[in-house]
Formats: sequence, structure tokens, C-alpha cells
Amino acid sequence: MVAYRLPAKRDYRMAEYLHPDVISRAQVLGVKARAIVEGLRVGEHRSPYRGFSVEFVQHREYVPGDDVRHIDWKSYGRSERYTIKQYEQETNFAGHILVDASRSMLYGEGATNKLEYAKLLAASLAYLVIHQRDSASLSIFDAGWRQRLPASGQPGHMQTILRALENTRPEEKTSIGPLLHDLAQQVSRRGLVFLISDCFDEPAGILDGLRHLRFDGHEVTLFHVLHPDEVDFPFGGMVKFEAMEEKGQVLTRPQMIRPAYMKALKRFLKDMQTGCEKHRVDYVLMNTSRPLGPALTEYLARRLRVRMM
Amino acid sequence: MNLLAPYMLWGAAAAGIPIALHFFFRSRYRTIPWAAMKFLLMSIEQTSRRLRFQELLLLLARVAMLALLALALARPITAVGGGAGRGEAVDAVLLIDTSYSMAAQDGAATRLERARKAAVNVIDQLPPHSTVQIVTCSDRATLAGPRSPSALDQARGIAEETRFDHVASDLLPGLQESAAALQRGQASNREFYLLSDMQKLGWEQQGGAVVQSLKDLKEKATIYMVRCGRSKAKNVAVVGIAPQSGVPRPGERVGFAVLVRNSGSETVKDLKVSLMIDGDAKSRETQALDSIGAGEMRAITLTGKLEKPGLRVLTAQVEIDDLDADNRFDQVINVREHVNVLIVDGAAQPRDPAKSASFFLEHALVPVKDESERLKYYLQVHNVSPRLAVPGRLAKQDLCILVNVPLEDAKRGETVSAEFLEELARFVRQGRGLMIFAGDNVTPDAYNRLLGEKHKLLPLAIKGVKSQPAKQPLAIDRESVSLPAFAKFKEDDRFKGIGFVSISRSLELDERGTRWEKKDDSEKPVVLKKKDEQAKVVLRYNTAMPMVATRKVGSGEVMQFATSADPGWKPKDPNPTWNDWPLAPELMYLPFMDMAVSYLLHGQTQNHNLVAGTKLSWHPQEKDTKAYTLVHPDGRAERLGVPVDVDGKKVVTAKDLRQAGVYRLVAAVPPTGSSAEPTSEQSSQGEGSPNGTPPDEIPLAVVPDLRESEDLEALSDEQIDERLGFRPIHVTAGDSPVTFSEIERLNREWTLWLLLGVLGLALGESLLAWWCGRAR
Repeated sequence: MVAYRLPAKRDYRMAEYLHPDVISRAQVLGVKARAIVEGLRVGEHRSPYRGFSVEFVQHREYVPGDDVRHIDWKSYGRSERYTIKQYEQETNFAGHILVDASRSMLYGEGATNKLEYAKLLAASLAYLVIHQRDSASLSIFDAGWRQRLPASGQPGHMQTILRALENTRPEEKTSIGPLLHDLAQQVSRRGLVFLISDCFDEPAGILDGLRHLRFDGHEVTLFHVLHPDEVDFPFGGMVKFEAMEEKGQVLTRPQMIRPAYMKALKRFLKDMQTGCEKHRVDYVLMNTSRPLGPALTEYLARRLRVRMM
Repeated sequence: MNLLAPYMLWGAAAAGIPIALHFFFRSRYRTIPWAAMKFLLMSIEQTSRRLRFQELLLLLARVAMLALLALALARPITAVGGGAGRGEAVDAVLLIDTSYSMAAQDGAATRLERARKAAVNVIDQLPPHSTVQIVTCSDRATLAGPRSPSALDQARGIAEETRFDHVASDLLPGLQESAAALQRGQASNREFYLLSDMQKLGWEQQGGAVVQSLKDLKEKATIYMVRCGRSKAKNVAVVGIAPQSGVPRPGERVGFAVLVRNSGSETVKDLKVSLMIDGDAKSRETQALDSIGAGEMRAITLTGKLEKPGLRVLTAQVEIDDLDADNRFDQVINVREHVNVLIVDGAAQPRDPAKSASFFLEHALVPVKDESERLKYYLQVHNVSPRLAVPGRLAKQDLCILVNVPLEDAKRGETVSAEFLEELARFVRQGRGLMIFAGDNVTPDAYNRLLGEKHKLLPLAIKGVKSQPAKQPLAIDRESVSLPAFAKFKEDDRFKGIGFVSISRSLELDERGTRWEKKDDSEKPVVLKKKDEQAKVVLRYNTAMPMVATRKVGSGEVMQFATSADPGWKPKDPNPTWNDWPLAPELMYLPFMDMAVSYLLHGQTQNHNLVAGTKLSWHPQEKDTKAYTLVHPDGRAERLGVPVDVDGKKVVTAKDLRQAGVYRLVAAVPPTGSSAEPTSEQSSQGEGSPNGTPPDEIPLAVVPDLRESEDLEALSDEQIDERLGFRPIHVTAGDSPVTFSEIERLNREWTLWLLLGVLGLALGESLLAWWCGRAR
């Protein structure tokens, strides 16, 4: 494990999106692939490929064509049969970080701003992935792909990711489902997918896209980022709500409709959670009122405890 | 609905505050950019209708709350036309029924006592600065006071001292007086209390006007009907005393029929009826009556010895029942030694007296053959011709009879002088009787003009003379008898012969004479409206044409016959030309004439026998200058002063005599002295005063108005409501202090209920707001 290094003073991006308390907590746990992932080089994570590496797996009968160098002569001495030793190949993974940059993510002030929270989370995940010598890609989207950075494990890639995050300015509304299908088609190797969004889109489309990713063997985690106002709806008096993604406004007394709002939100969250569980997608509800450090640590710890089949 | 504080209604403008706030807060909102618009829209879609309804409901509740609060502070009351709220000054008018049915015992107290107590309670419960006026009413109303309406203590005193009259109940005058008293009030809040036993008579005498008056009162005031008696009264009343002989004479023991009537609703047993003369207990004769049923009238014959001539007072009494007021009946009778009758015969036949017009009449009045007996007979007839009928002839007469007397046309015979007619009119007005018989000498024009229009003696105007065909004579209709004195000719078959009289000729009497029409200088008819001035038809022909009519004139009475007193013999004609009435005893000529004379003589005491409530108008002699004092039954003396000239006649008047009993009219010579000669009546009184009655004391018997006790039935509350067409406030005056008006004022004011409504609305609004805001 590599100790966390504070960014240089000139590296302001690092200071903005990589908080020491978050990194220091999360780094201890790391981002381990719980499923089998496919990498281009040897790494810490289990690979679907069998070969001749470090981790012995089994013996098998020699068949003509096998390389004679792999015959276990000790075994031949004991049993006078030609057997070959097989080893499990370990590889690295590619973590695909998808950040929702639609206008709805702009809600919230300061640290509780959903987009800022998402950026912070994305940066932290990218750092953790790259720091353990895996590859991380970043995709920023709204109704389409706004910016995509390919997977890379180079330390300098972190700077690229941070820059991309910093430059992100929400403009459009969300359309998550089609993009997830697009991603599933584009990424051939199985890896980790981190979707960071408020999911203010059609749940069926989102879940369909997630299912597609899972079908392709990716380990998928949905970070559902919500502002505390959206969870608790604590408004009073006469309020005019202006839609952030679409044109439209509503003048109402929030306290009068709060019960109905809470009911609709709960149903939405339940649909999302149930859908994710159904497709074995990790569902993590991130309330921006909660500091990212503990929230991320809790997720990573849980991830360690539960190994995916 | 009235408002006691209408200016507070301006507060209702505050009802606009919630509406203004509603729009104000709608215009004051903060804008929030919102991401989770989908859920917001979803929840609004689900709740918008309900929210709008709830908002509207809350808004209405708040508006209603403020409007109700303003209305409550304006103090609305239900009563129309001046109801009072609690604590508001009231102009109250108390109309206390003082007819004598209010004297009936009702439990432990009389109805009037209950009314007094209820009146005092009403006064006690009047709010500060209230005023009160007390009106007493029997068949006339009196504003009893107080002089200053705000003097409630004085009003209490007046209420406590209210006495009943022996007068029948008629609510109309009282209601009119009460309306006037209410009109004089200054306060906007008015209350009218009718404290009465609600006897039907009071409501029915002038039913329509009573109802209209109460409807008018309802527009001005809140009406309380305070019932002062619930139980039915057991009552037997003495309703009359009838002498059983023609003319009472001194020294005779005369039988009198005392008429008693049970006007209660149950049979009365062991009733004792007594009769006494001049209040002398020693002369009392008592007779017991086993039982008298409800509604039954019985005549009990009692005798009394009339020792001396003159005006005597008969007093009949029954024992005490629930209503004392009508248990005593007084009557003044004139006991005469002699009755003087002057007959003026306009067709006297000195040579053949049997052909004289007055022949049969004179013999009917003095049915004695022997001349010496005739002189001793109590009825002395003086028969004169018209020429000899001078005014002085009337001086000591009790009755005058004009028989076929021509008034103007000398061709028909001797005429009476104008002076005689002048004196005759005065004679009648002073209380004597006059009988007028028809005949050939009676000319309608002269009679109508002189006896009718000029002297107003003629009961009915004469339209003409009608002769019947020989085969179709007129007959007398027995059933047409209308006066009780002549009832025997209708009811007793022994007198049925009167129906067989054949009348060939008759005057046509104009029945419109009941309303004398006379054209004076202004050519406008003068209508005699007074009931006692109207003529009564005593007897009719079978054609319904009047045959005998009578009319009270002044203190006297005139009886007019449409046919002659004799058959109307004509030379060489053996048949009667007018009628055959005197020719056969079975035709009841004598009994009828006897009864007619008795009726007129008995009627001469009518000035002495009055019904309670009647105004006393006493006509003394023309030259009488004595001062009169009226001594009431309770001994109170009322000075009436010397007689005054009214329409050329001397008259002494007294206010309404409302209490029954024996009054005494005492004449005294003024200190300055007077040369007035005593009248014949005064002389006769002077002759007969067994109990030391001074010569100039004139007894007057005032009896209760028996209409009052004839039917003591009271109207129920429902019947009153039905008559009125609206529902006044009915209460019963009980023994315990009544608090109805206070409670009613409280009930009538809606403030408390409205405030409770405001409270309820506030509670409802809070609950609604909580319910609308709670999480579901």
C-alpha cells in the first residue's frame, strides 16, 4: 500500500478534489475487484485466464501439443505420468467512473452541492484506482457524453481526470439509460463501473442500462447522490419551484404537499434500490449532507466484506 | 332581526383580512431552483384538488369566523320591531286586564293577584334606564301611569294597587292605548306585556281589530302573553230580578223572580239564593237550589215586602263561588201608590164613548166596572181631548198615551198644541213613558216632522198608511217578539190568541228609523249611532213589517203602535176598519196593553239601573241648581257639581261607573240658596226612605256587565297563535318570581351563540389546519 502523498501547492486541482481525510480513510481499504476482471497486465485482481504464473491452481494430464517446459517432473517421478501444473493469472482492472453532469446536479450550496459532491467522489475513486495501479477512466455525461477519458493507470492520468472534473459545467438534462448501453457496448473487458448520479431520469432506463453492464460482466456500483433538501423536503411558506433541467415552475405551499412528495420519493428510491439488488448492482445512497469520507469508507468496507459471486 | 350595536358590523370588513392575506402571501414567495421536479409535480398532481379544497375551506372558516365575530359584537336579536337584548334599556308597556273575570279565584290567589305579582316581577327585571307604562283595560282603557315612565317604584305601586272593574272584557281599547304609549317611548327596544286570563270574550268583541292591533304592536315591540289563570272557574251569576206583578205597590209582598245562571263548566249544588230590600238584612229571604247544571239558567221566586213607596233597592245574592264579582245583583224599583196615565184621545166621541178611539184602551188599563172601584184603582187614567192637552196636564203623570191624535190637520179634528208637544218631549226625556197609537187622524208627514225630526220621539218614521184587502188582513207574528218582557206572548200558549188578530189597516213603519235620518241645514243625514237611541221592533206582522216599536229617548221611552187602539169604527160600517184586536178577549188585547204599560213604567227606573261601565248622565229638573255628589258603594264621595246645560237640557254627569253596587246621588242646596222646587220624583223619593235615606238621595244600582261571566272560557295559546297568525311569547304568571323576560332577552340575543360559533369555527379551523398539514 502506498502512503498518501499530499499534492504539491501548485497542484490546486489535487487540493480541491482530493481531500486528505477522505483519501487517508479510503486508501486503507482500497478498491478491490470482487468479481473477476480482465486486465492487460498482471495485477492484484483475479483474471479469467489460466496460465503459468504464481498462483498454482491444479494439475492436468499432458496432452500432445503442450509445452514440455510445463511438465511437472517431480510428479512424473512419483507417478510416472506426465502432468502439467496450472496457475491462475492475476491481472489489473479498469475502473470506469461515470459522472452525471446534468443541470439537476447543480442543486445545493457549498459542500452539499450534488455535482461538487459527485466530483469529489469521482476524484477519490479515480485516485484510489490509479493509486493501486489499476486503470481508471472518466466519463462525464448529461444527455450525452460530455467528456470521456480512456482508462489509464499512469499517475499523470490523475491530473487529467481532475482537470476534466474541474472543467465540467452542467448544461443539459440527464439521459442515463442510453449512455449505459453505449458504454456496455464500447467496453469489452470486464471491469468496475462507478455511476455517480442523482438518477433524476426514468428509473426503468437507468436500471436497464445497469442490467446491460452487469450482463457484460462488469461490477457495477451506483452512487445515488441526493441533497438533504430532496430527501427531507423541509420547505415552508409560499415557494415557487423552478425546474432546473426543464422549463417550468410551480408555486405551492411545500408543507402542504410534503407528504405526497415524500411518498413519491420513497417509492422512487425503493424502485431504484430494488432494481439494483435485482441486477446485483451495488446501490449506495449518498446524502450530500454526510461527509464523503465516512460515507466512502463505509462503502469500501462493506465491499470488502461481501465478495461478489 | 335587529342589531343592538349595528356600528360593530363594520368589523365584518375584517372578514376580508384572510382573503387579503391569502393573496398577499401568494404574491410573497421565494424562488427555489429545483431538481426533483418530477416528484414535486407528481405530488402536486395528486394533491392539488384536495389542497385547493382545503385552502378554500380554511379560507372560508377564517372569513366566517371574523364575520361571525363582527356579527356577535353587533348584538343581533331575533325580535322584530324592537326586541331588547340583555342589559339594554327597555320601554315596557304592561296592559293589565281588569275585567271582573280576573277576580276569579285561581288556586291560592285570584287571577288579578297573579297579574299584579307578574307585573311587579316584570318591572323588577327591567334593565337599568328602562321605562314602564301601565295600562289597565276592561272594555275601556286607562293609562294608569306612572306619570314619569322611568319611575319604576311608582309603577310597582300602581301595579300592586290595580283593581278590577265590573266591566266586560274588550282588549281593543287597551291595545290601542298601549300602542300609543309605546309610540311615546324613546328607546328602540320595546316590550309589550298582556297580563290577562285570555278570556275569549275580550278577543272576540272586536276580534278583527284586536288581531290587527296586535299585529301592529308586533312590528313595534316584543309581545308577551302572560296568562294569569289556568283553572276553570266555578261560577253562578245572578243575572236579573223580575217583578212578578205589574206595578209594585207599597204594603204589598211582591214576588220577584231572581234569575241565576251557571256559567261555569260544572254543576253547582246546594246553592243559596237570597233577596233583600234596601240592604236590610232583616228583610232577607233565602231559598236553596238543589243543583244547577253547567250553562243552565234558573229562576228562583223570592218575595219581599215593599213597605213604603219610592225608589227601593233590591239586592239578590248567591253564595260565594270562584268568581265573587257577579254574585250580587242590585236593582232599583219604583214602588208607587198610584200610576197616573194621561190619554190624549184624538177621536173622542163624547156622545158615544164606545166609539172613542181610547175606549178599549182605557178599559184595558182600568179593568174595573164599578166607578167607585175605579177611583181606588192604582192606575188612574185621565182622558183628555187634544184641545185640553195643555203642558200642565203632564205635570204629575207617569205615562202619556196619544191615541189617534192629529198633530196639524185641524180638519181631522182638534190638534195638540206645539207647547204640549214641547212639554211632552221634555216629559219623556225626564224618564216618563209615551205610547203612540195609529188611527185615521195620524198623518205620516206631520208625525215624522213634528214627533220625529223635531222632537225625536218617534221610534220609526212613518212611510204611509196601508190598507189590506178584506180577505187578506195582516196578522201578528208571535214569533217576532223580541223583548224579554213580552216573551210570554211568544212562549206561553195561553197568549197564542194574539196571533189571530186581523188587522185591516196599518201604518207602514220605516225600519230605517233605527238610524234616524234627518236632513239638517247642511243637507247631510244625521245618524243616531248610540245603541240606546236606536229603535227596537217589539212585534211584527206576518209580513215582517214592524207593528210595535220602541225607542229610548233620554231617560224615558216611547212605544209606537202601527195600528190603532180601537177597531176604527166608521158610521154605517159594522166592520172594524183598522183591526179587531180589542173586540175579543182571546185576542189578548188587555194583557198586551197591561204589559206595555208595565214595561214602560218599569223602564222609568232605567236611569237608576245601570250596567257597570255606563256613563252617568242624570237629568234633574230644569230649574234645579243643587250641587250633586256621588257616593260610591265603598263610601267614597265624588263631587259632581251643579247641573250643566247640554243641548238645552240640564245634566249631571259622572265618569264611568265601573264598580258594581249601589251608588247614591246626593243633592245639596248650594250655600247661596236656590228657589228650585222639588221635582215630583224627588218628592216621591222623599216620601219613601225607609232607612232614613235623606230626601235628596237618589239610589243608583250598578250591576256587573254580565257578558263577562256569560262565557268564562279562555283561549288557549294555540288558539291565540292561530288567530294572530304569528306566535307571541306565551308565559304563565306563577306563584314563583317569573324570569321569563330576562331569559327571553338573553335567548333573543344571539351574541352568546354567535361567540360560541366563533369558538367552534376557531377550533374547527385549527383542527382542519392540523389535519391538512399532518403527514399522511
